[in-house]
Amino acid sequence: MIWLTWRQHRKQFLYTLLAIAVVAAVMLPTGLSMRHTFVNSGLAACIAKLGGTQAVLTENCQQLSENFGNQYNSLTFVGILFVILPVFVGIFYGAPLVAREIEHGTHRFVWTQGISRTRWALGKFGIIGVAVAIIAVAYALGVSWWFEPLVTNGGGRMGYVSFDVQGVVPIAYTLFAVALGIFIGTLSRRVLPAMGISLAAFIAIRVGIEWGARQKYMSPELAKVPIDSQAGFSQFAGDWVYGSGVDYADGKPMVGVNAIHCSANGNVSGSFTSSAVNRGDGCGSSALNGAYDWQLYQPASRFWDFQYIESGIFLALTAILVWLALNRIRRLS
Amino acid sequence: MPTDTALETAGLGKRYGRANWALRDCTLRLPTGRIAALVGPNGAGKSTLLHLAVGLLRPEEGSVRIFGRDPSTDHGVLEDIGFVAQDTPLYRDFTPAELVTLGRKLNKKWDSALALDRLAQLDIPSNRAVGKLSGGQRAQVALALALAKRPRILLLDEPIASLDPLARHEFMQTLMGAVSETDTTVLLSSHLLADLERACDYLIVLQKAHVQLSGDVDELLERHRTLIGPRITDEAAIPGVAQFVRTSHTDRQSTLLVRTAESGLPALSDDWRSLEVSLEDLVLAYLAAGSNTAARAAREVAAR
Repeated sequence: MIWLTWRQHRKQFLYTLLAIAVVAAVMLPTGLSMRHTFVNSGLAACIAKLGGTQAVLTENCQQLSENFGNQYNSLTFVGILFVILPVFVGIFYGAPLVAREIEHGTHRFVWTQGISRTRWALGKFGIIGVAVAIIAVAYALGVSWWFEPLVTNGGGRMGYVSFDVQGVVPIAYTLFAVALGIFIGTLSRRVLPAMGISLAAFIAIRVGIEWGARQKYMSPELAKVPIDSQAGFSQFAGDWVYGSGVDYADGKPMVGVNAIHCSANGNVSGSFTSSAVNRGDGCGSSALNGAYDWQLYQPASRFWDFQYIESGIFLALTAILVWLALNRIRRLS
Repeated sequence: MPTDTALETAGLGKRYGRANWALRDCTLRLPTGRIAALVGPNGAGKSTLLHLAVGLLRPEEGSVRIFGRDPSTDHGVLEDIGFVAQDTPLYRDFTPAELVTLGRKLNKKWDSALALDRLAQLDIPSNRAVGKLSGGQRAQVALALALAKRPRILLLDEPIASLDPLARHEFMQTLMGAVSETDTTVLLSSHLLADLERACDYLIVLQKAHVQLSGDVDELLERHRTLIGPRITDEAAIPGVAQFVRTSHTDRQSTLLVRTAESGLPALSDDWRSLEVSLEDLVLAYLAAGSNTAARAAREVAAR
């Protein structure tokens, strides 16, 4: 089976390696320059000193961060590209695996040799699965390395796009995409429809889980900081913030205010529409007494918990799809 | 089940969709060592029968056995079957030599030298992609691969349908040469009897998903006669007949293709002549009878 799989897929493997080489040729120089600037500008050290604490005075790093962002934030669009790469690998390896055999009638040749078609299928799934997993691991490591300065500088790695391209989830996504392609291929029996349907189904399931389920993996935490503490929530803490705002002491929300604190000179500073706070409410006024900033968030420390949960879901789906595909294959002729 | 049975089916039925039977009530037995023609018009169920026999399909009804084993559950029987599917599907970007390697990797019992020798004898380039070979050469490659399994039964689905006359001849010659040295049972299908007539000693006629006729060719020819005599109105007037397969009448004369009773035809009166039938006549008569029955049944259903 190894020989057959290699012989049938060697071109695909070659093209994949070529594509990886092209991506690496872009990632390596930009990644190195990004890391260089990140360290040499002092931003890395500045953020490291904050140590992931939530409520701190962040002014020190703000300017460095903006400079870095101006230079490199345009690269985050590349992250979008990284999000869709696994599905392409999955579709190009998965969808034709069974569908092309049926389209060309060669399943009648290969399934009537001396081994059962279940063994044929398990052999193929296994070898392609391992090969794709290795590609995915290389991809995940590379992207995690490349993305590190960008996500440290803003948003953190729990954010939507950056969570999806780092850690172990890209491996699970890729294997899932392969299994999806295989299964849809056993249904459609044609390569092109299988690719199209797999793509649509993959996007639907990924988006569904990302927006429908991921926030509920663990219950979020609530953090409060009194507005007169002179500290705000750090954007460098790497938390995944569901929402934030400012409440009065009695818990009533302060409408139109996102985050404020009292400056040393007693003025209110932060992000707010002027009508919301400027009703003569100085920082020392009784109305603002005891008011606090709050945010609902998943701590950055839960990154791996979330990675494992999400990967587990997709690996479970992969297993189901493989099982369904094996069942379908027994019924094809 | 006697050990001299290669293929046996009992009440075998395969359905596509809800009511579309591709094969039904198929009961037949193919002894070992025979070269059997599976004949019938397109869509009669020939491919379905072969796919059931090789385990590509599972039956809805009845059973199929190859050397006593069920091919849909017992994959070990694949070792004993050489199968060439319709249109001889092979990996078109593989060379014949690579296909031989593939066979070696996927079969426990495999004779690479046999396959390579055959290809060399036929002057088939073993290092050119199969997709670039002619249809005849491709069919020969597929046959060589099937034979390399050293199968006990060879199932060939319309192996020569898409070939030109010369390639057909060569293919049949190769096939006959190969199996004459062994006791391999062969079942090959075609919608044209003429292709197989000379080669086969066993016949199975399929039509509209049903077996119309099956048996040893010599026995079939022996048991059938064309009777020509004066116009008759009552078929019972002829003794010793088990079945009237085809009857045609003019004003003065009746022509009857009959299957005789086991005891044979008794002596007929002088105004009757009894002629031998050709295999082709026999098949055509049964196919015509089958389509009449089907047409009549359809009319009866419609009239209700």
